[in-house]
Amino acid sequence: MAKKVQRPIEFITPPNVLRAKLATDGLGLRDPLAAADKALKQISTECNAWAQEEIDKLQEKREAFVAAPKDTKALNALTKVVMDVKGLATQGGYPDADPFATSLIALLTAPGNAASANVPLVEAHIDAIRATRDKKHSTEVAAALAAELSAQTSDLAVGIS
Amino acid sequence: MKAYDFSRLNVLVVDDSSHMRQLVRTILYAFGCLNVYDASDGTQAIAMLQKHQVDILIIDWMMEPMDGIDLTRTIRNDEIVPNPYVPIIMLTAHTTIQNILHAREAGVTEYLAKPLTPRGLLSRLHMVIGNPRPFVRTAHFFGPDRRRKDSSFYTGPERREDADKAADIFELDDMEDDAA
Repeated sequence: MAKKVQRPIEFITPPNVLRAKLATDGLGLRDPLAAADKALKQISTECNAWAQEEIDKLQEKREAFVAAPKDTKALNALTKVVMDVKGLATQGGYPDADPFATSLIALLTAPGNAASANVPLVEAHIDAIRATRDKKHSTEVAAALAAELSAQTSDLAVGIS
Repeated sequence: MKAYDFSRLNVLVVDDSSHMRQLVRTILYAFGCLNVYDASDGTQAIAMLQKHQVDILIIDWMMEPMDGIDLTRTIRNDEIVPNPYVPIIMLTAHTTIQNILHAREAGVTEYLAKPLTPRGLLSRLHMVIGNPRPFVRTAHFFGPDRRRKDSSFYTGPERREDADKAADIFELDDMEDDAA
């Protein structure tokens, strides 16, 4: 019987040039986290506008998805915008939108195209994100609604897989 | 946490959202970075890597025409990119364990879940600078070691001797940390 030939595992430890390059005694350096918080505050108006812009795009992508839920291009376009919402909503002043975006991404990327099997659930997530933008929810209501939509998403994904 | 002088760091931010690039850039500048390049997809990023000396990449997953996974594979395996060892931090809204496994399989160094926070980004920068993963080459994989924990006391079978099984070895606790 022929013996299976296996390629050996090679471990490589490249020299840590970065640690040497960036080494410092720390004197004179500012606190990076405090500086970043300050910088983000300074661009909070822009962040808010960016987040609103992405949330507005949701409606356009939603219409294309609802018209053709099995169309991969429409699904991917909607997923991309939801990911951008997740990336910007918290810094843009809409932290309550984050759990809705997280749950919606799980729904849109679930195996077996679970989203196309429950378009109303997709729309419910988008409505919830838009309501968060419009300040129609308290944080408590948003959290409860997000938990419910997330549970429905999990049930749907389990049912399909 | 050890301090680093980020003014000497060259970072390439790859994201098709100009807003996200601006957000990352703002945080990096606040950390003291002076040299922040950006690109809107993988193809543009490769051109930047050929033109500039880049120390760290921060990349999105979902981009067109070349996404973050294909970009990572190209960096690790294609000779058109000058430094296959460059640290890659994937910043993404894909946060399931399966996604993290997929990214690690492509050769991503560190994983950072959106929404982006300064603390999260700083901790990943410190990881790749102060505690870099060694690289592993098998028949099917070249990239940062997917085990982070010290395994010097491990006395079980060396599963990585079988290159076919190498892909199955991960530290799930570690990946759960990554998704946080």
